[in-house]
Amino acid sequence: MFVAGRRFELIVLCVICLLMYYFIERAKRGIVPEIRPIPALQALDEAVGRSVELGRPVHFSTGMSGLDNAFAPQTIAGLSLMRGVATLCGKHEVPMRYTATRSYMIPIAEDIIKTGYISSGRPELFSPDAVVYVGESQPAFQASVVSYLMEERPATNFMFGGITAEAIQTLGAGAVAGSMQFAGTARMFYFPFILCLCDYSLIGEELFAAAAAVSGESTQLGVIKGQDFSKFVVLALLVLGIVLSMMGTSLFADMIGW
Amino acid sequence: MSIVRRKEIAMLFYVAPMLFIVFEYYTGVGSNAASALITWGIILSTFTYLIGGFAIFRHHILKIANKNNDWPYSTILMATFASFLGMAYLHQPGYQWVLENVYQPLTILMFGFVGFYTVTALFRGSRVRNLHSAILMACAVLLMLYNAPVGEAIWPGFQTIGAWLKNVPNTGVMRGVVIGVAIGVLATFVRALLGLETSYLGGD
Repeated sequence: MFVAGRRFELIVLCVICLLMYYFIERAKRGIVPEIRPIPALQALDEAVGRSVELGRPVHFSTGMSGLDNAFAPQTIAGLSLMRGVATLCGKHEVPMRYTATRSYMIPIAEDIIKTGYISSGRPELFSPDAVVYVGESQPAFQASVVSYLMEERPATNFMFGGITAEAIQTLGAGAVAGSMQFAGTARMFYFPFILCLCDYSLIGEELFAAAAAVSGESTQLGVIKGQDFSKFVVLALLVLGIVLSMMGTSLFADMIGW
Repeated sequence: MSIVRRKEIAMLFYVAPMLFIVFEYYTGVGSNAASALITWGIILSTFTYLIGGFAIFRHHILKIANKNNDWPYSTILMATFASFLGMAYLHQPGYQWVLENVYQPLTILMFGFVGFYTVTALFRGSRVRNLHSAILMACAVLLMLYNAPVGEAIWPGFQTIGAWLKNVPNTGVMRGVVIGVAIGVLATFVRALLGLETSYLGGD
């Protein structure tokens, strides 16, 4: 029934999914886990407030990766964070711009920004120009965003998602333009650039944790607790693997290859 | 709410194929159907270029009509679009010439800027403000000397230290990050499955 070599992997997948489900259900019953404060999330209000003080807009981007490839979960996490930023922009009456590099992101981003303004009671702030599509090419995105950052000098620049080389130029330009910068990705190659160029960063799994925590809903916090316990499962497997390998048995290798 | 606008229907279109592809990966059942699903996804995403085309036209035509800031650039964009599209169908050699002699050099020019911004990033990251940034800076210098031929010429020990830094602490940390990211991706999968994650559908 199951493909040989993938059975153990499936068991681990099921255990992790069940752990997360269990903690979500616990949170629904009112046992809400405590999570450590995420500095980037705590600073969101300050960042949008800065835009009000400076009278300059907020720029948001999820980078080149869309929803049709392996980096889709990172883009989804970026969109979750965008919801939170859009709501704050509505609350503080700050114009927000999203630069789209995938055509199907246009209606999604428009809807998120519009909903953010509506939920803050300011639907009239929304303009279709809030979402700018620059084509599917990376150089076009770089040229457009760098030009926008240097000319409009947005007070805050956000870049969350499966970002690629475009991040180096756009975050570099944002730093030169004096924007307060937030970025996050799970793509390791870009961690150093984010750390050097941004005021706040979400690296690796922090991006997913922040995406779950930004809504502030207790059920979403349950997922983060599930993530932590899943790490214990993986660590236990690692220790088991090390011990069995040191004992000279191929049991662990056989188990993984089952 | 109309049945076609219900969020549950849209979620079903996202979650059902995702579950089916996972099922096919672990059981091997329905591989042809899974490949067909992926092909449908690619075809559907191609149709979304229409939305992109409409958005570009709308944005630039309104800019030209209202004589907004930088409207002459919008005129250039529209003219370039029309001539490029026309050449693609009517004059292939001309299209190829523009591609090789205009588009590609401009693309390379954009990537050429990466070097300058990398230096900006390096300059900003090089400010030693605390113990952590001092350790980061020391590692960066040692790795630069490990990678640059001049490092070995100065002292062969830079090769040993650089290789250790790259293969031991760096690899260990990176594997930890990969495990964390994989669990994070699974968390997004579970949230989407339970309907807790709907940001891919837009606002609430």
